[in-house]
Order: sequence, then structure tokens, then C-alpha cells
Amino acid sequence: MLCRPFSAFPPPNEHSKRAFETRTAAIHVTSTTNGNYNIEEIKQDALWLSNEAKIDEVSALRITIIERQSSSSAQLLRGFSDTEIASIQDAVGNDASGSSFLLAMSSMRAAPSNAQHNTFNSLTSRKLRLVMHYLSERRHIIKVAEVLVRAAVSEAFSTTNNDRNAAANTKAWVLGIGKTLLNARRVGEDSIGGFQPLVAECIDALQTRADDLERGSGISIDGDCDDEIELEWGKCLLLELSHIGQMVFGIISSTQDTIPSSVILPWLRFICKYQFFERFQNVGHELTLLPMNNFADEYTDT
Amino acid sequence: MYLQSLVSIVSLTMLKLPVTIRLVCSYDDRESRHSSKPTSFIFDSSAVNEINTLLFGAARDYLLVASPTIFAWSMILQAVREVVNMPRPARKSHQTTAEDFLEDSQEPFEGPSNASRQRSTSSDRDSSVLEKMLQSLPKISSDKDPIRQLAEIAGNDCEVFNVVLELATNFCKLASFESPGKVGAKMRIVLLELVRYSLEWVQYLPEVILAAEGLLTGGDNFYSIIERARLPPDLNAAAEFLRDHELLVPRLLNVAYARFPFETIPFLKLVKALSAGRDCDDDGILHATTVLELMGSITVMLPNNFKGYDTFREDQNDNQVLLTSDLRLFSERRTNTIFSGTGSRNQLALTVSSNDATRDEMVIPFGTTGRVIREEGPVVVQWIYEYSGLKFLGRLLESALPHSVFVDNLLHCATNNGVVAEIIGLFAMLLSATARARVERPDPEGIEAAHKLLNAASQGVRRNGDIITVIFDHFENAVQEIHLPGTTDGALDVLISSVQFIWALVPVVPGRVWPLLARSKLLNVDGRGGRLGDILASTEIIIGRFEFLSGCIRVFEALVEDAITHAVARTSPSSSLSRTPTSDTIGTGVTAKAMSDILLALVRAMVDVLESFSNWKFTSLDEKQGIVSGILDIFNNILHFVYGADNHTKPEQKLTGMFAAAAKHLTEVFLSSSASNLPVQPLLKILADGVSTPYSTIFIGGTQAWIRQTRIALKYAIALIRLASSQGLSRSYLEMELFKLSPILVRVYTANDAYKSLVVELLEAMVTDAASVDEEPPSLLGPLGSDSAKLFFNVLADFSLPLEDEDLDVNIWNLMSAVMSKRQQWFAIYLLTGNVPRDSLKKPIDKADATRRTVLSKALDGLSRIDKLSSRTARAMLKFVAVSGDFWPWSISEWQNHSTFLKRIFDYITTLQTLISVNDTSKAETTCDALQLASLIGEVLALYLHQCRQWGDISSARTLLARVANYAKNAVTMQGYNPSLHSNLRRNFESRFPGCKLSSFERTKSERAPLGSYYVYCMDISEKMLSYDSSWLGVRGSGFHEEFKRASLNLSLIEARLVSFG
Repeated sequence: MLCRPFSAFPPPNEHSKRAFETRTAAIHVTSTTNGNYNIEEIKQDALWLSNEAKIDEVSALRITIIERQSSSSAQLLRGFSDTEIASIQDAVGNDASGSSFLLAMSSMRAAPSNAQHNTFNSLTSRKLRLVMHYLSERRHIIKVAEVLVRAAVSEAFSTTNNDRNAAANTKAWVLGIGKTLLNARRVGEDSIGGFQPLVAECIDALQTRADDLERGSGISIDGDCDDEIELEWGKCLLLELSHIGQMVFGIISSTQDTIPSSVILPWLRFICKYQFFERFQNVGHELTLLPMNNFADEYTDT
Repeated sequence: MYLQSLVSIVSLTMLKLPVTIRLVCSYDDRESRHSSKPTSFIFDSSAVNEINTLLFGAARDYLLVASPTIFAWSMILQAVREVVNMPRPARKSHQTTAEDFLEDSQEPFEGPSNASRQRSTSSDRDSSVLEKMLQSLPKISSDKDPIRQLAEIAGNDCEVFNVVLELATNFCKLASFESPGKVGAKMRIVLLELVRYSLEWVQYLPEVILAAEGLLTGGDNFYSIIERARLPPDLNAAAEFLRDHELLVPRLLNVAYARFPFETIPFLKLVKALSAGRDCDDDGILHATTVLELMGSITVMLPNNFKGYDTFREDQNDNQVLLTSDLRLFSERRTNTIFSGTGSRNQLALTVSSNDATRDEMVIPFGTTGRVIREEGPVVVQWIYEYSGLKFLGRLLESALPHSVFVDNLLHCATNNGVVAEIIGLFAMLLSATARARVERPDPEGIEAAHKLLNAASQGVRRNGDIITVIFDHFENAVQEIHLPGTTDGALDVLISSVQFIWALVPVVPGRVWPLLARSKLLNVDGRGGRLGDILASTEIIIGRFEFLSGCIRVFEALVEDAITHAVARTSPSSSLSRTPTSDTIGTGVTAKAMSDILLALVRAMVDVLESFSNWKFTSLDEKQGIVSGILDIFNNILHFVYGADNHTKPEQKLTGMFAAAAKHLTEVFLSSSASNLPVQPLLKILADGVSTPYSTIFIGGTQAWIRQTRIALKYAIALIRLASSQGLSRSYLEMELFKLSPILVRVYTANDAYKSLVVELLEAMVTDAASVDEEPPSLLGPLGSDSAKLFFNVLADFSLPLEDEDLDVNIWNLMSAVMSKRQQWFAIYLLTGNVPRDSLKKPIDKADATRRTVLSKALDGLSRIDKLSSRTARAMLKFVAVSGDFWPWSISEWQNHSTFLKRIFDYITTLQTLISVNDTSKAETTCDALQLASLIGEVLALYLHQCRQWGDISSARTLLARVANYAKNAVTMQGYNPSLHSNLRRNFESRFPGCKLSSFERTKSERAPLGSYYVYCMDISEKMLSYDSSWLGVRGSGFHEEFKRASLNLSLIEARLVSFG
């Protein structure tokens, strides 16, 4: 998956469909009497995700399983029950400072326990979580690939002792995977030109994402939460764009050599098309990444 | 604006400015045709045409983000033009014609003129690739030279230097969290190259200086610059700068130099930024110091009435002048003229007889030549005069003191706090960078070099003082005056840089810092002073930035570190001191009482800060978290130093006694049982903030700071609760609050993997301590309610999957063992049955719940494969099984449902026996582990036997009993105690460190350690206090460091045997 970070999730095909069926066949799944999960529900969710996000069924299955495994944590982080709020207020007082305490966790809405339980397990909110997991996986795969490429590239061009020591400190396996990733795309050994295919691939990936950003996610949960999905989709794509950009920087800054026109031209064409992203409309999303402002304010509002 | 910034830098990097310009300048038609080297885009005409189209397009749109790239491209084109216009033989080397553009510029920035184009005479190179490039340049407006216009758009309209500064200080800082600083450093180098080449065209301008300073420091504050990891030379912007004798040094540094001290600030800023790179020569002297040590010229503004000079060599028309009398830079204030600095008296003081000149070097002597730089208004002259910049700055600082004996005649900075702050800041940077010139932390060589630096700076100060007293005087003045209405501006800056200087001083001459701080009014020592709070209230709390407070915390941290590392060295009699090179500077004269008073005052001040900071407005979240983390980290250390080692009952009499009063204050404040007026609430809030930890793949630094703050707060809470247990204190308000806040704690657990282990440790400490008093302990799960409790169990029961973190697993098992034995019934029953008691009363057992594997069965399954487990995990699981069997005997029936469990652990004893019987000290650790395992298995089997008797199941008991007897027979021999090891250690240690007891380094109950090399002695404290002496490390493992570990291990072995068979 790391070897094709820009399209870690290929569209569904006959092969993946068969693989999906084999893996979920009764013979590979311990009997459903084990009450921790419901295999039919998982299968349906996975197929829904595969269909909406146009990704292969096996990957969708993996994401669905991740969602199931993390659901307890997610549910805990959603909010406090009445019992809990009572206890917290007992501890910090019910006055201004006490309520600011709860407010400080603005991400967590206090919800009555029953309603919370129901909404949490509803199909809509489950599907929303699936989409979020899918987007987060996409982004992380690219980021991990970027780190790996950076490690491998700087080793490939290291000239001084200092660099070599640093490379020795990098965990060997990081380097190993990074090299595999790199060598799969490398032509020739000794110059930046050898990385031309990888840079080209990065630029293509950037272009795809810029297009996707304009087009929208195409994912819909029965008309609900579409705004939320689109917002997350935009945020995710911008982050992906940034990580790919970091990867390009990692590659081209690793050498003192000059750059062939086959690398620089596609790059300049791409960014000039978008005016260096200077007038990019969607960038406002980035500001919502870190809940810094509301956090600092909450504390001083009392 | 992350993406834009990134795109901006990537595009600039693509052009590879230095390589491309070099290629252009060394271009040769014939060579390139036969070259096999990879070709650059610059020799690809169609590519160049396309780049022209694209970048001229971007320029027409005035894209700020593109301006660095556009600017760089204009420079490349200009280089091409110069090469084309140059006669062929001159092409080989790059000769700049920049002077053409430097003179008489009207606009703030002026691009290259097309003057050089007219010099083109030859027509025989029309076919040259380079020339073709120039022929098809697009036009922006018809009447102007396109290259010049391109540069002007970037330079003037887009203010490219401001863009560079922004990128350097904001974006590169974000990026520098990637692969320890390297990515950000690489980006800054790329930007520095842009600034470098621009110097061919651009004058010495404020924005260029600012951009260069920003690139050198990366927008970091003083402390993070100094503590930044060392960068390899090719990524060190300061080293790059100083190596460049073609452009950066002559066009930027030397110009600033030539204007100094008439223009004081730019030069000081540049030198400070350069010293930040810790770029030094072979002797560990910073290159920045070398620049200052011997200055070759001094530029001053002459007073209107000064006539002691004459023009000279008028024929050459370069404004040369000659001094006809001595020119004093400083005059001595005479008692009768202190307040009468009128023109005529100054005139008297300015010229001195040659007798005086020999006494004081700070005089520009008669006959010195110079050049007039400014003729209108007061004349400004650059004198060719050699002097020490360090000494000069020292004298300048002294003359700026209100009651100084010196008056500075020419600069008049006495009232200019900005200059004073800048000079002190420069000394702080030089000092701390020198001390760390070659290594990450101050080392003896660095400290020696730092001493020399202090001496050089003290040369200019009058005989009974030195640079340290001068700076402390400035500091003290600012401390006492800053909160008065009408205080001069910049007093806060003086405070900020003085604190930086004090921080830099601590590792170099700690013996000077303690007494000076004791006398200062900053802290409330002996009931005097205590101005810190006033200063904060009147300055930083209003503006929302806390550089001064952050600095004070860093000084505090450094003092704590100094107190512990020199604790032994300061108390030992002189015989051992003579062996330490720094004995004269650590200040053996500082009494423990004085240190104790200062530390107590500091702790009080920090507790005050912690109590009120949540009402302050912070402009930077990083700063807020840095302050909180810094304070709590110091508190943690103090508790650790006092209560971590030495079982002496009176903390004041320990080696770490100077912390005792401070630690006592901390425990009184945080472990009190009353609910009034305490900083407990802020601590709880900080813990609760952990829930909102952001998760980002871009703002890595922000996430790291957040995680650090939460982790430190968790550690502090753990330390407090454990301390309460070991000191037998009554249940504290903090602990009761923590129980009530368990809903928040379990969410902190789920918020980030980095918290899990610590939250579990905290819960365990709470559960254990709560059960230590007679009254019923509060329920850990009560406040959660059944739904959240079940969710938390689910999360907890995943253990560390999928990451398999052994520490976390062990901590979770330990928590569960504690729950079993410490009266947390509800929690315990859930772990054993998988059901919450309240549920089982209400309704029939839910089918799904019933089939879920209980934690107990997880343990039993795990132990059925005991040979696959790590020794630590196996021990923790066995302990859990044993404790649950002991306290909840009915759970033993579950053991029989796991048929292989008993058989496997029993069989495993055979494996253990072979390990135990090995009598080899090098394998003592393994033996120790095996013994502990065997003893736990023994415990489990004993419980089972006991239960069998209850059930009346005699037959299985009998078979087991037979084997247990065998097992016991094989292992009764007590062996392994090595008395000579311990007595030799004690004898050697006490002769090496007279006055010290070995027992001072033993661990206390409040900080337990597993059996092994770290069991008996507290190694980190020992290391801090003893490592100044060479005997600590010794030669090839013969030092006390290894001896301590061997002794620990030997005693662990005995302990393990005692537990097994006792």
C-alpha cells in the first residue's frame, strides 16, 4: 500500500470482489455467536463504503473493521452522561469556574446517555465515521510515505559523515521500506533525474486532488451530513496536497544538482494553473485544524 | 497558509539558484555539446520559453506567493544577460557588475538596469543558447526592460523580503518539527541563497537585514535557538553566511560593521543571529566572537562643537579626515559635573592629554584617519581604529547605568533601553553559544571559553566590578522601576535579556548567580522583594506575551539542575574538590541555607503563577503550554530529588536538603485536605485539557507541546499521590477531586496513545492510596455511570493492541491487580465476570455480554502460553490471577475452565528451575526474573490447593502436592549474597566522597523499581550528583556507576530468593 501512496485504495474490480467474498465467507469468520460484532452488518457497511468512495472491497472491509475496533473510544470521546456531569460539577463546583471546565471540552457535547447511545449506533453516524476513517487513512498513508521517502532520499545523496551517522540512527526498517518505495520508481542511480518519475507521479497526484477538490467527494449518506463530509473531504485533500508537496521538497532539496526541465516544467505548469494557490478559495478549512482559538478563549471567558 | 508557503518554497527550490547561476556563468558552447552530465532546464530553450511565459504571467498577477520564485528567475535572466554581454575571455568567472545598481538609487529597491545590454558589441554569438533566451522575453509593459520589471514587481510590489521573512519565521518554524529541524533548516538555506544573490542588486536596506536575521534565527526564541539540535554545516545558515566572502559577508555584515556603533542595533542583531548558529573555530571560539574581539573601525557622530579634526588628501576627493586631538569615547564623570553636561564642559572632556590616553584605551588617538560618511548635520566619521568590541560594549553598558563613573560621549545611549537590552541579549547569546560551541550541553571546554569571553567583556568595566555586576545592576534597576508609572520604554526588554544572561551564566559561574539572586528584589527571600508578581501584572499580563516569565522559569530550572549536580561537590571537603576543574566557580561559599531560601522563594512564586495563570490572556498557546510544562516539570524534579532517594526521615538532612523546604511547601499546597484557596483546580484543568489534544499531520509541534504538557501534569499527579501514600498523609483534596473526575481521566486515556500508560499508573496510584486509610475508598467507576464504565472496560481490555506496548500492558495488569485487592468491588466484579453488578440485578444477563471474554479469562488464556510471554508481562498477569484468587476465591473455579492453564504453568517451573540453578553473575538478571516467576506460580498453586481442600477435591490436590514438594526441595538453598561486593563498595565510596553516605543514594518507598540493576540505588539522582567525579564512570566499567548496578542486582537476587522461599 505504501508503494502506491497516491492511490492506496484502487477502485473496486472483479478480483477484489472475489477476495472480499472469500475473506468474509463463513469458513474464515468465527461463528457469529461471538457477540462482539455482527458480521452481516460489517459486510454491508464495507460494501456501502466501497460503493460510495469507489474503493476496493477489501480495503473497505479493513476500514470498517478499524471503525468497529475504535468505536468504544469514539463513543467515550463523544460526550459525558448525566451521571458524569454531576460528578464533575461536584468536583469543580457549579459556579462559573466549574462550567468553564466543561466548556473547555467544547468538542464534547453533553448528551443524555440514552439518546447518545442511539445516535451513536445509528446507520448515519456509523457511515459518517466510516467516511472519516477512510479519509484519515488516505492522508496518513501519504504522510508516512513522505517520511519514508525523505529518509531514503537523504540517505541516497548523503555525502558527509554527519549524514551517514544520521542515516544510521534512522531505524533500519524505515530506510528499508523507503528504499523499496523509491527504487520501484527510480531510473538510473546517480542523479536527481532518476527521481523524475516519482516527482511526475507526485505532480499527477497533486493534479488529481486539485480536481477532486473542485468536484466534491461524491459520497452521500442518504442526504444527511453531506456538508460535514464535504468539509472533511476538502480538509483532507488540502492536507494531502501539502504532504505531497512536502515529498516533492524532500526529493528536490536532497541534491545540489540542477533540475532537468522534465521535472521543473510540469511543476510550474501545475502551480501556475492554480496561481500558486494564492487565490485558492477552499483554504479557509485549514484554519479549523487546530482548536487553538476557541480553546484559549474558553479559559479566559470566566 | 501552509500549502501556499510550501508551494512558494518548492518552486524557489526548483530553480536551484546557486547551481543555475554557476552553470550560466561558466557556460561554454562547445563544452556543453559534448557534456554527458545531466542537462539543466536552463539550457533547454523551449523550457526556458515556457518558464518565461508562466512566471511573467504570475508577475502580471502580482502573486505574493510566487514572488521569491519570480525574483530568483529575474536574477537568473540577468546573469544570462551579463554573460552574453561580456567579452568571451571574461566569461569563465562570475564578475559582478552590481555597483552599477548600487549608486544613487531613488526607489527603495531597484532592479538591474539594461545598461549592460548596451555594452554588447560582438555579433558573432547570435546562435548561442543563452542569447536566444533573451530574444524572446515576454513584455509586461512595452516601454520597460522586462527583466528589470520582473525584479521590481517581486521586490517592490510584492515586497519579496517581507515574504521571505514571513516564510523564514513562521513557515520554516512549523516545518522544522519534521526530522529534527532538518526540513526547516533546508528551507531556510534555500531562502538565504535568494537573499544572497539579491545583494548584487539591492542596497543595504532594513528589510534585507530583517530577512537575514529571520533566516538565521528561524523565528525561534532565545532558549529554543540555544537548545536546538546541532545542524550539519551544510544546513547551518550561520555557517553558510560566514563562509560567503563574496556577497553576504561584504555586502551585509561588513556594511553593518562599518556603520557601528553610529547605527548600533543592526550590527548587534546580525552578530547575535550569527552566534546563534554556534559556528566556531577549532579552539571553540565562535566566529561571531572573533568578529567582535578585534574591530578595525569605529563610526561615530561628532558633537557639533568638536573641531579636533582636519580634512586631508583633499585631492583624492574621498572625504578623508585626520584627528588633530585625541577623541575620548567615554569620559569619567567628576563629582562636581554630574548634572551639568553642558556643551562647553563636554568639549573639555572630549579632548584629553596624551597622558590620559595611555591610561585608558577607549580613546581614539591623535593622528587617526577616517572617512566622512555624512556631512550634513552632525558629521559622521568612520575612524580607522582598532579596538575590542567586547570591551567597548562592556564599557557602554556600564556607562548606561544611572550612577556610572563613565559617561558615553558620542552615542548617548544612557537612556536608551533598546540598546542596553540588545547588548545584554548579545552577551547572553554569545555566552550560552560559547559554552555549547561543540556539544549540545555546556562542557568544561565550552565553560572555559565562556570565562574568557566574560573576562574580555569585563576589561572595559571599572576595577571593582565586572560585566556580571554591570548586567545585574541593569536588571535590578529594571526590577525596581518597571512597575512605577512613567518608566522608560524598553525596561521590559532589559528584563527579558537580563534573564537570558542569567540563564546563560548558571552553567558557567553558578557561584555568582546564587548570591546575586539572593540580594535581588525579584523574589521574596527573607520577606523582602517579591517583585515578580508586580512586574507580571504591570507588563506581561497586559500585553499577553510572557517572554520574561518564561525566562524566569528557565532560570529556575537551571538553578534546580545546578543545585542537584553540585550538591556533593559543594559539601565534600576540599580534598575531592581539588580534582574538579570548575571548583572555583561553582561557589562552595554558597550556603545551603541561602540556596534553600531562594528555591523556596522560587517555588512560592511559581505556585502563585500556577494559581492565577488561567485568568490571563495568552497570545500564544505554545507559550502558555511551555510555561505550564516548565513549572510542573520543576515541581516534579524537586519532589523526586527530595523524596526519591535516601530513607533518612528528615529531608533537610539529606544531601538534597536545599530542596526540602521547597518540597515541603509543594506537598502542603497540593496535598492538603482542605478545599480552599489551592492551585489544585488549575492542575486538574491542565489534566482535563489532555482530552482536547489535537491530532494533526501538519502542526506537529503544536501536538507535541500539548502532549508534553499533559504528560508532565499526569506525572506530577502520580508523584503527588504516591508521595501521599508513602508519607502516610490523610486523604488529600486532590485525590478526592481526581476520583470525582474519573470521567475526564478515562477520556484522557482514550484521547492519545501517549497518555495511556500514565493514566493507568495514576489510576493505580489513586486506588492504592485510597485503600490505605480505614474509611471506605471512593469508587473509581461510580462517577462514570454504567454506560461509560462499560465503554472504558472495552477500551482497557484491548490492552495495547495493535501496537503491543509491553509497558502499557504491564501497567494495565498492575492496575487490575490493585483493583482486585483495594476494595474497588464494582470494578473487580466486572473484570472477573464481564458484568456490571447493577446490570445483573436489573435484567437477565445480556447474551452478548455473557459471551464476551472476561479479563480473567484473557489472563488465563495468556498464561496458558506462558513460554511465549515476556517475563514482565507474565509476572504482571500471574500477579493479577493470584490476587484475584486470593481476594475473590470463587474466581478460582474459572481456572478449571481453562484446562491447560494449570498444567502449563506447572510445567513451566521446570524451565525456570534450570534458569534458577545457574549460578552465574552475568546472568543474574535472568535468574532474578525466573525466581520471581517461580514464586508467583507457587502462590497461584498454593491458592489452588487451598481451594481444592474447600471443594473436598483431594485427589487432584494430592498429585499437585507431590510435585510441589519436589519443587520446593530443589530450591531451598540460599546462595548468591556477595558480602564483599557491598562492603567494598561502601568503603571505596566513602573514601572517595568523604562526608557522603552510600545510603543517601538508596531509593525510597515512594518510588519503587522492579528487581534488577535499578532496584536499590536511584541511578538518575546518583548520576546527577556524582558524575562530576571521574570515579563515577571509571575505566571500562569499573566506576561507581557499574558498582551501584552490580550491588542492586545482587540484592535483587537475594530479595527474589527471599520472596520465593521465605
